[in-house]
Amino acid sequence: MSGELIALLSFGVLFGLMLIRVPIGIAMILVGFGGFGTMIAFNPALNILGQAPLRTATDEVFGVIPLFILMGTLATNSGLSQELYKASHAWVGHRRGGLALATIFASGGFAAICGSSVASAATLGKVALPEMLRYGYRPSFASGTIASGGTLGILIPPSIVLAVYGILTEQDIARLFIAGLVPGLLAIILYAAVIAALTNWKPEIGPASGSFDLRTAIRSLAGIWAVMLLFVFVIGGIYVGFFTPTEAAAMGAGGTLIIGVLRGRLKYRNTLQSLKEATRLTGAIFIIAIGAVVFGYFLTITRAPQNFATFVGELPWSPNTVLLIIILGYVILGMFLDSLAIILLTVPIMVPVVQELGYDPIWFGILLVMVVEIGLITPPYGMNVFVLKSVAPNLKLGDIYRGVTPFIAVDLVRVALIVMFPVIVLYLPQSM
Amino acid sequence: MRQLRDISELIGAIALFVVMALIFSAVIARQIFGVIIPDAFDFSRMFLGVLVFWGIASAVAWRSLITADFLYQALGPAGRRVLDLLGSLTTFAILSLLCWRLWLAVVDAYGNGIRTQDIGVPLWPFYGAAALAFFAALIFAARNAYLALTGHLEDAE
Repeated sequence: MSGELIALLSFGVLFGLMLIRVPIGIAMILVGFGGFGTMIAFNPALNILGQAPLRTATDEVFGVIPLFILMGTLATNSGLSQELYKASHAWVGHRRGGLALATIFASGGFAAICGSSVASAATLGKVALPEMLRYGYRPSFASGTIASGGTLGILIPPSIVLAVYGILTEQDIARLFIAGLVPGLLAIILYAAVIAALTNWKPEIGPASGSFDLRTAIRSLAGIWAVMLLFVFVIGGIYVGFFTPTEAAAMGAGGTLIIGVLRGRLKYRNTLQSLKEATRLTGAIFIIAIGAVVFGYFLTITRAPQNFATFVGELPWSPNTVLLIIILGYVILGMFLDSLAIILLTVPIMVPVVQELGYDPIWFGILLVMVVEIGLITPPYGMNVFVLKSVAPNLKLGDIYRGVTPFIAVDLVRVALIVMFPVIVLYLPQSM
Repeated sequence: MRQLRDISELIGAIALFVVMALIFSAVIARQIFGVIIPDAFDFSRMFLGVLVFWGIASAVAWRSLITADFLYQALGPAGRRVLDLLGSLTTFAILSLLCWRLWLAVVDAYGNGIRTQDIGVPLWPFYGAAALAFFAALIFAARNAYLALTGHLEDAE
């Protein structure tokens, strides 16, 4: 049996195991171990099981993941998202659709200190949803805005998913983070445009609330200095080469902790809670990372990634056609699988293909994250939608999905723009 | 069992704090005072390992390992019970293998006297702490499998 066929079969078994709800990381370890054992021998496969977890868990580069997760949990537990929302509310809340705009701006701001979409959707769901409903916003519009705004978390740096992509593809994480900035800002602008268009068309879905008071608005900015300082410190430090991404993550987490303690927002109890939440999430991510390493050993010996890249490169299709197929495949995968699992599972196969087609791996990383983030809000497995539902059990899933539809449309426009104008992604990292 | 889960999380949380504090201090010492903290790099890596393995144990305890739930959500209680059992047993089997191999790595590290680069602290206790975490994870996985078998997994805390 050829290596490619074995690899193909192994993917089948892997998806079968995932279907019967074997945890994704465990399934990857099992298939990787079984595949390696079948193709080479089981003794070396057992050695891999001894070495891969230790090497992965003690790799300094991987340290970026728990530390940025900690920065996010500390930021969440110290109430920074509420302050961002209050400030955005004070500036734009009085407009028609203003609370929805405030939610998007606050989501963007929170994404700048927290690399998790789910955390963004959960925290803003608690803050923004009751406010929007109180002012008579249509539930589908309000929930769609929050779920979509949450997706900014994995694009705007620091991003845990981008960090994982960087580690897997051996791309500079700093460049990846910087590359995510302009597409992230573009996402905020396009989401704001959707809100403006929808509330112009149907004013009753997002009525104006209160009146603008310049003094309150200016005062509200005092609450967000911490977010701005942390973002400039962490991302600026990476951009000018002052820290490595792992160091930046530690500085960001340490800085968030110090600011939270000095402002009286972080006490012993919620600090410990933040550390524990980050520990649990780290474990959930690392078991997949270990699985990806074990599965990667197996894929390497099948030579499937290289042969698949050569095969695709020789197809009589234009690179853009292949790219379109890849994007569609990711959109479909995103509907069913966790974004991080998709990246860990497919990147070793797809990045050689994309490079063979002549695309830049940093540009592809951003495109990939944008495409899988669409999966966070699409049925049947839109993670942000479920998170919002758990925050507000009275909301109907159908309403939330209806609410995110215009945002998905604009996400697709953004993907098209990035494909047509790669400079949107590459300008900043190339200037480093 | 709840105590073991709390301990797992606490060890992971302490290790995470130490990793953060070590790297934070190392950067400040290097960039501001021009001083290198001996073995800061090796210690941060080792505590990172402790964090990761106890994090895995906590994730198993809380059943928060990432799964694909689309079939599960479409099934009734009996179907879900079967999938819970299959998932828990597979997790238990794989964790058993990992636990066994990790213990061998601890023995290796002890036998070969592997130490940190600057001040020569032996690494086997860190490896041991990591292997203990997998042992705890194994206990949680066994509990999950038992609860799945008796049909109480969904109600369990």
